[in-house]
Amino acid sequence: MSKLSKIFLIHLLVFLAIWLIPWSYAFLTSRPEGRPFTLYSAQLGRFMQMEVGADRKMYWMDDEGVEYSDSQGDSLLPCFYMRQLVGDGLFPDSICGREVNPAMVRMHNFIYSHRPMEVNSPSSGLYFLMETSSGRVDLKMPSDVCSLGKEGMMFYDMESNRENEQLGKVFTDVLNDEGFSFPARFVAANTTTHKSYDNGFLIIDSAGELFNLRRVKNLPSVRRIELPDGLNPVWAAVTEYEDHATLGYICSDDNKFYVVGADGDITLTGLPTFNPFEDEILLIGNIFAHTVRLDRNGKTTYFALDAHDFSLLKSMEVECSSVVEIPGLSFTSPYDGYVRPRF
Amino acid sequence: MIKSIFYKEWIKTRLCLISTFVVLTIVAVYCIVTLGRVIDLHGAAKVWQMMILKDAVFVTLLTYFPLVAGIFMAAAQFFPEMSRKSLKLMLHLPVSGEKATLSMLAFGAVSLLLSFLPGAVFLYVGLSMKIAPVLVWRVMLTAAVWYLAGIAAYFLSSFVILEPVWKFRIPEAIMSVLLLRVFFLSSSACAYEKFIISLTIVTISMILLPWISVIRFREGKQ
Repeated sequence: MSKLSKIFLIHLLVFLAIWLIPWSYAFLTSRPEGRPFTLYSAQLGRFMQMEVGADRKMYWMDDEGVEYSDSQGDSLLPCFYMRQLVGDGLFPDSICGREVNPAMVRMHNFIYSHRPMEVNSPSSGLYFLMETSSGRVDLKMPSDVCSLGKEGMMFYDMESNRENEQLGKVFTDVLNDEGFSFPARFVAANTTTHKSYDNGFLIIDSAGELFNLRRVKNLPSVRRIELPDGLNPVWAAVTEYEDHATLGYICSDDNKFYVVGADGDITLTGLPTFNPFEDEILLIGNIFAHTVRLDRNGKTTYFALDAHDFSLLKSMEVECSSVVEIPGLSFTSPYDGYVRPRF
Repeated sequence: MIKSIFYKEWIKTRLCLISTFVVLTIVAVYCIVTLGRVIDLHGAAKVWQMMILKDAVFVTLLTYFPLVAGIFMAAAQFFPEMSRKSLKLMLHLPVSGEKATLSMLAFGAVSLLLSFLPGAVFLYVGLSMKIAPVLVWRVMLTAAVWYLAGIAAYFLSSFVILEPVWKFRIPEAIMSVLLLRVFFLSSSACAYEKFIISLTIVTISMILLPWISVIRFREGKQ
């Protein structure tokens, strides 16, 4: 037993060394590194980065190295700085040859972000299906939660901590009638009352089909979304933008990024690849173009997508300072919420 | 002989074990009562939302109690052995030193687990009355890591206390603290879901460590 004890102790010491030496090195040498705020200017057809000069004054620089003052930046990014331009009385009547007004611009502006941690963390499998037609202006959280297991859809009343079998049966039957295969492979919802309307769930069933489920007057409203041939969705996200133009985003198993339109049409975007389980994404959209920031393995790439057909307008890779990393063991990761050993 | 060892260990540790049982049960009761108050004040829906959307577990008060209980248990069991040099006597009993040490450690670990059990059962029953089974499971899985840390703390503290040379106790204590850190890297619900089985195996294997100290003690290291 003494030999076994010593072997075990040595293993523990080696384990501590390969965990803590790289961690200590990274802790002592890492420096916070900010990414300059970047947006695509539809007028210029270039990316613009916000920089801070030696005199701590802010200025903009486009991807060809041309510098612009703060106020010039406002005018070149009129959708993002609409409020500033309106306040200064400088908001234009037309942008890129298209007549615009602040209300129209506001309606088309949106920000969407996704981090891999959101999909790689332990999930309870319980979701809040909000009432989409409550008759009230403000949305309310439901009094129950639901799950989409093997047996069908189940609802639990939160106050009584009891299953509402009747409601579950109603939803399960309607989903079955629409051809839904239980259990759900992926459920996407935007659970918040801080939005003006609710698009319900985007659900990928066990057969890889896409469904939109809403709760209308406490009854199910299910829509099967026809997918193009060969598209096998692995991830979905619900969007509830002011312009009501989209239902959400989906990603296929070959890392293609699609937009699901409000009427259920699927459009392939010009984004070369996007892996929702590994990549972080930030979309800042407006009536003309969407700026996409994609972070993958410490590398940042910016893409500009056309707001109408989502085709790729331009891309730009940002140089990152090389950080020397010692390979080792770690237990946590920015990509998931699990604690487990990983090299 | 083993029965006698168990009886001797019970005499030494009964106060610690009863205190552990009482304190951990009170903490579990307190957690459930607090959860009930939050539900009364904000409604059950708010609690469920926090648990589902924010990964809250509502029993974080419990986090370090099993760890402290494990350290106290090791102290109660092995400080008298070292201070009165009775470990030397135990190693001369008509039973092998290995068997006697393992019996003492097994007694400590199992009795510690039994003292954790009523609190854990109370937590499970209390939560089951207020939240869905899947959420109860998430809380219990999170708390299981803290209970496991209590057992690991017991073995590691025994390892340090039984060490006969003071200058070795310090690196051993540092090593123990670093190893125990692994149990507290995240307080999110179910964060250890994929690691808990391996962590349990490593924790059980830690029973081997105090034997290294006992060997050194038997060899007369001072």
